[in-house]
Formats: sequence, structure tokens, C-alpha cells
Amino acid sequence: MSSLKAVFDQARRERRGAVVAVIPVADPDLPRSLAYAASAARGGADVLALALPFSDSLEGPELRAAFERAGKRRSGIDPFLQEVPALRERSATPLLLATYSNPLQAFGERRLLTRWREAGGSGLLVLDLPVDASGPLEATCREVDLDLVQTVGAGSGTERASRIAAHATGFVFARLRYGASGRREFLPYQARQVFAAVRDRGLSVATGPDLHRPEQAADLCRAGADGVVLGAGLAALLARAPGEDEVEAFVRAFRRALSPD
Amino acid sequence: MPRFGGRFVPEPLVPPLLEATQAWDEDSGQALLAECRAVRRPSPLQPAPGFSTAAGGAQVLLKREDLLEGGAALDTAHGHALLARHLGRKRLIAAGSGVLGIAAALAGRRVGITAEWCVGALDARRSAAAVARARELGAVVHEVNEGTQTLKEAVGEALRRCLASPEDAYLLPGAAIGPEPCPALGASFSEGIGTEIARQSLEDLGRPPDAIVADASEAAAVGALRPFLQGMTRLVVAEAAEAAPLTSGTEGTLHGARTLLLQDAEGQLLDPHSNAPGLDYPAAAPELAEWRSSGRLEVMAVTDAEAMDALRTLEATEGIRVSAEAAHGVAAARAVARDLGPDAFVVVVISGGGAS
Repeated sequence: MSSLKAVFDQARRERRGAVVAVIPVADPDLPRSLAYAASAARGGADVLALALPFSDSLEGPELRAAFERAGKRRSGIDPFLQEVPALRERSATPLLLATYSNPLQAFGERRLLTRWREAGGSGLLVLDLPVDASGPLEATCREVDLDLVQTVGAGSGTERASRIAAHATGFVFARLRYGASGRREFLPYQARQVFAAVRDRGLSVATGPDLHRPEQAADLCRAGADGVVLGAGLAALLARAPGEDEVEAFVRAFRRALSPD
Repeated sequence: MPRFGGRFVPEPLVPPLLEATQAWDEDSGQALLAECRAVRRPSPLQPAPGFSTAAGGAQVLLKREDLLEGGAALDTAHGHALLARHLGRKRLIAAGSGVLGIAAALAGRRVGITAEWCVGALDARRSAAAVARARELGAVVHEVNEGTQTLKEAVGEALRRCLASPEDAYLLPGAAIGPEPCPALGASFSEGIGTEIARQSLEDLGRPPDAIVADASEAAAVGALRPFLQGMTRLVVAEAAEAAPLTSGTEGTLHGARTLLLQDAEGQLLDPHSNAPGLDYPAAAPELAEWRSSGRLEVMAVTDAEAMDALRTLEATEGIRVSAEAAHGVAAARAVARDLGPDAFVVVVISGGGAS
């Protein structure tokens, strides 16, 4: 069984939301970013999403800044892949590789996926690859035994969301926009319908990535998400070069907010 | 599946793009195109005898899109604005050089949609008059302070703004770039320029031109050449020598499309350089990449110095000052004219327009 699906199933059995922690690779450098990943795992992250830097990411300002910091180091994909087994030894938390299409294509899809799997990776999320174009990648992921996490949006509609989920494995990432005003978060009706369509296909939905506060995550899981993708808030913390214990505590706060009282 | 193009964007952007594709493919697309063409103001095809003599070869004719405020970009912006209104979108999010900012503002006013123009902070300084004019026309200008503060960052910002509110934002790239259907739409809306060149050539010279040259900065580069694809006319696109994806790019994916890119071995985009803001971009229009790969399109990489020399020569011989982007086309046209010899004639599209 997919290890990504297993952790979401486990979280559901424990009646809590799952935490997918996004760690930008090589921010501030490769060893420290992987140390932060291990810290996030100690803090209770259910999945570690290791995000490959991309010069032209469409993410929010916090993740773009992290990619820019990482880009200046130019650590490279090869050294990263060489270090993943060491992380794997420190933590059993499933690893998801998050990337844009271009670095994946430039490195070579099959080459990258094969090496990612050998290094201990569990899944792949390509942020700018919609389901309509993901066919060849799905086949490669199946061959090398990796989950392919697909993305839905609030505007995907139930029919398309169902099709997206049918082509996904592990879980489905719901890319939604949240307010940063400090108000309570809610899920629009459209999004709840999309989530239901995904669940009908037997997969869980984790939403993000622009979350900053544990209360936001709690609101979203109460409103129907199975988990959160913790991106912007964590990247903002990493920008301050925190200690590993701070990262652990940050993730733990989210994990606690998503656990039953 | 075509080698270039596609719709490589985060999922929230896909349904609005599919909606635009569907509307375009249905009857409403033809109606919008007709409305777009109906308001196009023809531009003259002007002989440049002094410049031709100085070039020492074929007769060069200037397709004076620059005489119209908003230039050739106005056709692109107007068509997109009509489609945006048809789809019920409230905001036109433009990304391009100075002339597009003005064109988007003009189109937004005519159609009744707010125009927002994403422009790199460096480009905003390089095109200060265009920024002022776009604001005067009611556009909201977003200066982008990231990276090289040029077109690449502006297009990224426009995509992010659409991603943040896919239900009411509509993407308007100035060049034939971006996710489908943007490149094809931009080229189709500006194809009137090409058909106009074909008609004017027949009327004025009795035959199609021997060569057409356009700089790569606007969707009109595709629109002007498209009507001549099946004929014998040489099709030439000028790009900046230090921002030349058609000349030295490799295949990759940027801003929603698979195309030719300036990138490193790990797929990180390189920072190009050109004094012409509209050419300062590391990706080619997918349709141009397709034509280039098939051998139908000739590409000339023009240095800043060559462009400046062409600009000065045109100014000295014809009293016409053109944009930095158009100067690249003029430099390429001079080279093509020399190559073709005195019996031929070459049309060069003069991009830019107004305060750009």
C-alpha cells in the first residue's frame, strides 16, 4: 500500500488532520534544509514535502524567497539525491518530492524518479502539471513505484475533481487561497464539493500551502480537509534561520491543533 | 501532441483557461475576432527609400504599427479584453513591455474592464513615459521588484495574480506566450496585420513581399507572419543577441508553455539581457519555436549595438524614430535586404507605438 495513503488513513483513524510539511531543499544550504526536514518529522509531520527550488516558481512570496536563497547556493539535484538516504535513516516519515515541470524535465523524468525512489522517496507532486498532461508521468511513477499526488482547485468542479482523483495516488493536494487577515478560515461550498468528489475516489485531501497559523489549519480540517500542506508559514520561519527545535515546535503546534482535544 | 505549447500551470488556472478555449472554439470566438478586426485601424506600409539605399540591397518598407497608440499590441489587447468580458471576468492582467501597458489600458477602457499591468521595476524605469500614459488611461500598474525586474518576473507576477483569483482575472500576455489558449489567441487577434501587409503589398507592388521581418516582442510577430506561412515569402524574426531562446535555447517549460528556453542544465532559467524590454525574456513564443524547428522561420540574433545603429540610420535617412524592440527588426531587415539584392522588397513590422 502507498505509504502516503497509509499516513492519511492512520490520521483518520486517530481522528486528526494530517500535516504535510514543505521544506525547501537547500535553504539555507543542503545539510541544514535536511536537518530541518528531520526536525519537522520530529514535530509530528506526517509527510515531508521536499521542494526543489525553481527560479520561476508561482508560489507565494515566502516560498519564492526560500527558493531564491536556495538558488544562490546552487547545490544541485545530484547532491540532494545523495543526501536523501541519510535523512531516510533519521526519519521514517514518507517523503514527497515537490517540483515544477522544468527542473524535472531538465534532469530527466525517468532518471530523477528512479533515483528519488532508490533514495527512499514515496511520491511526487509536480506543481504546474495538470491532470490533462500527466499521463506519461503517471506511467513512469507506476513503473518505479512512486505515488503521483495530483492537485485540485476550488474551481475544478466535481466532475473534473473526480477525474483528477482517479489519476492520483497517495493523496490529493487542494490548492486554495486563504486570507492572511487573521480571520477564521472557512471552506467555500465549491471547495467542499470538490473535496467530496476526491473522497468518493478513496483518497484524502490536504489543503494549502499558504497557511501561517495552527488555528487556520484547525479551521480547515474542521471544515472538511483531511490535512494541511504547511508551506508559507514554515518558509517564513525558515527565513529567520531558526534552530532545529524551533522548526520542531512550529510543526508540533500544527499537529496539536489538528488532534482531538 | 504538438512539440511546443501546452497548458503547464497549477490546477486552479486550468478551468478558466479551458473556459476561454471553449468560448474561442465556439461561434463566439469568430464573433469576437470579427469585432476585434472591425475596430482595427489600418496602418500604412511606408517605403523607406533613404534607408534602403543606405542598406544597399532590396527595397525596405515599414509596416507602421508604431503610428497607432498602443501599436500592434492594441489588436492583441483588444481581442483578449473582448473575450475576458464575454467570459464575465472583471480584471485584465497584462504582462508585457511598455506598448502593451498602453494597449491594455486602451482596450480595458473600451471594453469596460479594469486593466492591470504587471511590469518589471527596471522596465518601468526604462519605459517611464508608457507607465505614465497607462496610468493616465486608468490602468493599475504593478511594478515587480523581484529578480532582474524585467519581463520574466512580470509574466510570473501576472500568472500569480490570476492564480490568486482565477474566477475574475484574465491573463493578457503581450507576446504569443503563456499557457494555451493565450499564445494562439494573441496571434489570431493580431493576424489582421499580416493580412493587411498581404493586401497592401499586392496593391502597392503587385506581389507578396520577398521577406517579412518582425521583432519577437509582441504577439504580432506571429500574427504578421502567419498569413504567409504557405507561400514563398522569407519569414524572419529578430531577437536580442543576449536574450535569444530561438537561436540558442533548449526545450523546456516556462509560464505555462513548452518552448525553447535559456536555461541551465538543471532547468533553472537564465537571466537574459537586452536594452529592449520587450525582448528581455528567456523563452520563445511556442508557435515561433515550432516554425523555427520546422525550418520555416529564419531567426536573427541582433546585438544592442546593431539595433542602435539601425535605429540611428533609420532616424538619419527617414526621420523616423522607432522603439528599441523595433530597432532589432530594422537591423535584421537591413541584413535581409542586403542578402536579397535590389529587385526584392522586404517588409519590416515596426512594433511599439505611442509613449512606449
